[in-house]
Amino acid sequence: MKEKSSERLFELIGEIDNEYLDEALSDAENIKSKSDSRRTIRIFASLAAAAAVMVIALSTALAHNSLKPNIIAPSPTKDPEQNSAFIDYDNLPFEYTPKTDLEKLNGGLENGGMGFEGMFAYDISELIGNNPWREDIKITELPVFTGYNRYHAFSKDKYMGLFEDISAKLGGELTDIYYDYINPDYFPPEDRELVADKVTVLSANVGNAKLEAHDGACTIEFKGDPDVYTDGYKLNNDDRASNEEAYLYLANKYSDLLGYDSFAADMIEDYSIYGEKLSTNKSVYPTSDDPFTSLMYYNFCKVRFSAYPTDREEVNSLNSANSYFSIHFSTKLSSLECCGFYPTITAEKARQLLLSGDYVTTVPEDRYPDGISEEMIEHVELVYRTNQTLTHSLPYYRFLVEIENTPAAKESLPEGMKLYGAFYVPAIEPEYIENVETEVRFN
Amino acid sequence: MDDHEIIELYFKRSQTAISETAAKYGSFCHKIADNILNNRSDSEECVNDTWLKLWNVIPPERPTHFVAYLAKITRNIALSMIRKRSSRKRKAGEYALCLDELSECISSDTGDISDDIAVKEALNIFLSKLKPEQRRIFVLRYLYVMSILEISKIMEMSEGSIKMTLMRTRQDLREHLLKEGIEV
Repeated sequence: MKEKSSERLFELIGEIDNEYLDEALSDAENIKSKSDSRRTIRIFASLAAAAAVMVIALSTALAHNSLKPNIIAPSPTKDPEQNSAFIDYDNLPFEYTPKTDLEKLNGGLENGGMGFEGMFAYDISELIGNNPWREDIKITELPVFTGYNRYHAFSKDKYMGLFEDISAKLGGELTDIYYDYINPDYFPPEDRELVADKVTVLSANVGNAKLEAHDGACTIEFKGDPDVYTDGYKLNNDDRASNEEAYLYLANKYSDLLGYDSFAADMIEDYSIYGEKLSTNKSVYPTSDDPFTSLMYYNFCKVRFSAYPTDREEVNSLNSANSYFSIHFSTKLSSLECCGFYPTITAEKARQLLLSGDYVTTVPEDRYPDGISEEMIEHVELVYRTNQTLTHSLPYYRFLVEIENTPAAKESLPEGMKLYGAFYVPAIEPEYIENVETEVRFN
Repeated sequence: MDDHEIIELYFKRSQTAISETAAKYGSFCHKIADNILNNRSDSEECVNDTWLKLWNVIPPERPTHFVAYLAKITRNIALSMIRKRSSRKRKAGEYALCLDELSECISSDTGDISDDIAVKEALNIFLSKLKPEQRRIFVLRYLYVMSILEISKIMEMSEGSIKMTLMRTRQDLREHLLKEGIEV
């Protein structure tokens, strides 16, 4: 009988207003058409902040739960003395089985989106977050990861362990458990084993909290007035200091749930093409006395908070049913498989490679027709890219370069505003990198 | 050729109207038909019937949302074809998956929809309250019958995010229909 009803419901969905049909296809049509309009620039502030790391991992932090990494053995390294100051191989914040051979790495960028990684700002400092990496830290090798597979499939049992741990901390029982197994038949034969018996989503309720896991991240959503959960702290303040204060307060308040003891805030501004401030890309990440662990946390363990209604809306009879406060954190560090520690190049060497044209970027060449010169480089940091389409998650030097900096180009920007493009140079020695495209083209 | 010009061709009773429509929207209609019928020859027949239907209704009709209009015709023809199949044969492809998912919105096991008009109205109200992104995903899935993978490409989101959004939307729809006192 339910089948008959769902057939009828499906038919009636076909009668909805045409405006919703048009709306649904709006971007699909844009994707087909080539556009170089300034309006199509995708502002990647959120993505850029952590180089595609959207979320947070409990990993080591939830040191007492089932996602705790199993440290098997220290890493073999070409020169342990050199790295000992930076990497404590006896206390890695992720699971690692020593590898005898280092495989070749794919050094390209993900492709297929619209626009390019360009960011507007009045001052470069607005685009610089709180990356613990510093150019004067001596690094001679870094880990590369794989296994966060491109299908986002994960073990249900493994994540159920995480859910059970969270439910215990919340003092409730897991109910309404939902998951969706991936169908291996949809995948190439060589990948079927990889996704067999894996799920792509998992959710459950604990009292008034809803737990969700997908895409290498977990969300805990508390239903009800967000002020109850934020103790009145607002999540969307006009100034960076207030945002940092709110985020650090909440991170500490929920530190037991997150499993970390100390945190640092990471804030990056976001502007529209008209020079109006859109928002601040806000997150916190756990910190450690060990700088390498902090670097891993920065890249793989960010925590974000969100609430509805937003700070600018009152909770009222219309929106109270949907009101919530949520904590969003990555589980990637415990999902990733370390495929080895690779020799790295210095930031200075990367800068030379950038200037000689050995980089990957999504910025179209016509945005910097005269190439990249030293004075155009405004910032460099070391980040991991973890996009789902990448085979390997490896470290890159990410350069922020001022583009469209000719007088004519500047005329089209609001006064004082600059446009920066992100350019990446793999931080791993070039001999281990293959498939590097000089430019990733869009549209 | 833009949609307005194509519609003008129908009004002029020019047979190029159909070829222009097929050139521009043929694969789009095929996709909808195939996702419901899961059979290439049936889809072919469905799309041909769609062109015939268009030819017969324009004029006098002059659709303002041509793509939506076309999609609905294709969808309705595909559904009428599938109703003629045995129930076992119906269970295939994205259509079957959609039905399975939509069964989560069903609160009654009587098999009857209480009032078509009320349900349609409730659906439009429900959609109007959704965030645009959530609404688009819902429509792409249950109206255009697109696969999760296709939607993830259009929305530039992962398949997991799409599935989770759909799951939450279905739960919301179930609650909305219950709140509206609609027996589905």
